[in-house]
Amino acid sequence: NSKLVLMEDAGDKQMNPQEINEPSEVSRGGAAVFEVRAEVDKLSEQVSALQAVVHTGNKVDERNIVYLTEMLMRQLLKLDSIEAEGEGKIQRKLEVCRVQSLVETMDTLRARNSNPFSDCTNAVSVTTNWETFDAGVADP
Amino acid sequence: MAEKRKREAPAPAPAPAVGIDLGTTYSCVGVWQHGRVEIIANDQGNRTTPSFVAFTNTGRFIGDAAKNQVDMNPTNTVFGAKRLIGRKYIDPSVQSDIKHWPFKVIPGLGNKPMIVVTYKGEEKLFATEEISAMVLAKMKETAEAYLGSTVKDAVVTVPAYFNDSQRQATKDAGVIAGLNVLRIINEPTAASIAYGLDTKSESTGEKNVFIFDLGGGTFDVSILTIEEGIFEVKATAGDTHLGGEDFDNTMVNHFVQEFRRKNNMDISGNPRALWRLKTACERAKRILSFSTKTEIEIDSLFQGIDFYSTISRAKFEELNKDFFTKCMELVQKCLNDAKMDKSSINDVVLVGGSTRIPKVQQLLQDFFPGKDLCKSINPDEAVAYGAAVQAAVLSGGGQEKFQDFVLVDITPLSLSIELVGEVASVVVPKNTSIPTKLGKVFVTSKDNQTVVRFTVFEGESASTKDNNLLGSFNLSGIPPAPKGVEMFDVYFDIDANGILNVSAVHKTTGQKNHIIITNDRGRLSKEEIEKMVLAAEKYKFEEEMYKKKVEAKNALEIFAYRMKITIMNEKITAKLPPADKKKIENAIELAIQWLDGHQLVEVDEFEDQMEELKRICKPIIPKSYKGAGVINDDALPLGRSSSSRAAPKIEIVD
Repeated sequence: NSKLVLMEDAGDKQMNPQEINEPSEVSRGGAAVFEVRAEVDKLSEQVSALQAVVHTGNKVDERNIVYLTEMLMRQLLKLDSIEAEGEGKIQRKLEVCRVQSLVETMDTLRARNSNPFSDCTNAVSVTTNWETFDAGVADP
Repeated sequence: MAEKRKREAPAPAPAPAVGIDLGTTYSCVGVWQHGRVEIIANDQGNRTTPSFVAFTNTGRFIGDAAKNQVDMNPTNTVFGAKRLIGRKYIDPSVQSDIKHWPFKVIPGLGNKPMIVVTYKGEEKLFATEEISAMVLAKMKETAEAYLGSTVKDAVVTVPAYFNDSQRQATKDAGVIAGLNVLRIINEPTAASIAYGLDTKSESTGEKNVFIFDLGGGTFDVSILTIEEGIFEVKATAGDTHLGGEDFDNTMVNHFVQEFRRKNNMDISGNPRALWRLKTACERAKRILSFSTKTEIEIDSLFQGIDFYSTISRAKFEELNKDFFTKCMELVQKCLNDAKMDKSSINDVVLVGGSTRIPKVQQLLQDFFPGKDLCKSINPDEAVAYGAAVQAAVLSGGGQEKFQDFVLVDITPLSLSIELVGEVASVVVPKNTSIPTKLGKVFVTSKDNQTVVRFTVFEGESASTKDNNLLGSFNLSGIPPAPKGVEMFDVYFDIDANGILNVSAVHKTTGQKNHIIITNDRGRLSKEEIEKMVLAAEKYKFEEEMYKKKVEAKNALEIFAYRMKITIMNEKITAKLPPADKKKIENAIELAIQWLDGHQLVEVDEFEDQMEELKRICKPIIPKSYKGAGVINDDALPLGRSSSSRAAPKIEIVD
């Protein structure tokens, strides 16, 4: 009896090595995305902090903005390097979009920081939207 | 006696000599240890280090840190110094290189190219030797971190085609970096040593080696003849602007077109999208060296559109067909220059990362049928590997293993004295093994000539017009006599580094002069080098200070912003008396304002501010922070330990 159980175990391992590592379903790269997400969380906190300062009308050292943007871009490249499948791929794309939107926030912040007297963020983000829209229309 | 002393005190062994491959795009350092070569990884864990130096408003970065910030700070990030070293500003190759560089190069004293950067808010000029010295210093540090002791001696490699002035300038860079350069050796020589081709003795007598070096940005081929440990460079050829990056770029262009076809959109104007695509292409290229097909997957590449595609090895080869053809043409050209048939080549050595490309290996194998391709050593490391072996030989570190191991380099170009009518009279023929001292007798060319001018050239042309001027000196006080009567012994003395000294003696009077090489050769003076050594030490010290400051500043900044967010959280502040809350808010505001006006004050001041702010904010520091290791509340000295953990990366702020 016990002999039979042993054989089954061995067979299982040989046939589905992946399932043993990641029991969820056909998904790859999720763990790697999760690691990047933790990094992006930290950066995102710094983005909020900078945002808070700029929004209260204070000026920040522009280099901090440039630097943070660069750090975000690096996370983006890290995400690009992850080979993902299934759920992992969905997670990767979500994270890519999140980083891109943080980068956009930084661009807006940079514009506003360099010209604090100009009328605020709204105008800037509207412009961004219009650009996207225009291109979308021209597409087909 | 010696034995006794050995037993008494296990004195710390002096650090062994290292071998450094000072490359155009990457550099690499190795050391002979425990009977083999160890290639040393830098602080980032990389076995090669970008030959990049970056200057910022706050500090200087070398290697990976410099390359990583190049997009943020292009005009102050210097690379490719090897393309300038020992050359004059007016050199056509310098002129065409600087056109493509984002940093500024201007002509300096003696027409030396000088690199202009803004460093700590000030415009600064650096000689090429200084930039190369910074890269060498980084390699020295890397080795020191690994060996745990100070490194003094090094062997540094240069391309086989480097002339005297380029070699000397490289040696000077070593001195500025605090290194004693044991010897400058040719890169192909180093690669051959790495494979032990000089000691393999299955056949006695002459052996011909073909070295194929396809790196990140340059392509060099050379033919060496090795006989009894003596290396002779028979010929060199190459393209100073052909390498791995070109292959990446053709792939990028291919995918930009594909994206345009699929989506009717042009991403070539979007630097961020191109950056992502280029990174993906580099990766794909590497994969295609061992796989026949790979995928490119970039989520939301441009305006939210995903870019998923595949590329086969065959497609990659087709895209780069012209480059590969060019490589093989230069292989043939090198053989022609050496007046050799390919059948007389015994070994083919592969150097440089791009020789991993299967197509390149296949073309070479087809060209040299039946010949072994030497590729067992990592091609990025082969040159440093050989330099490390050579360093061990020169410093005796390899002990008995190298007893009969003699290495000799040769002069790559003929050295001559100019005669009347711009005729070059060769004193040291090309490919003379060095060190050497050779002499020749010269006579006066005019009647009653009292001053004789000795002008030294290097090059193969019979006319000095087409050769490279090295320098000149005069010998005066010659008694008047008919032409051809007064005779002079002229000696060319070349040391093991290929450094040349020319002297002349008047036979009858014994009047002497050694060479006074004029500054237009671009050589740095001893005083200049000393000044640069001091400056290099100063930069290093400032860098360390700056690092500490940034850590302290970041700790304070992050703590202040955290507290600012925390005090806005009503759950946390609900139990706080309003007066205390106000006090904390004021303290945070003050700290932030103070930071604005005090970006880089002394470390102590940041720490004092931190201590004060922590004291006031204590009631609102959440317990959970402790666990997260972000703020070390009571137990640790304030400011210091929390800083390094909270934001280690912000060191690179510019």
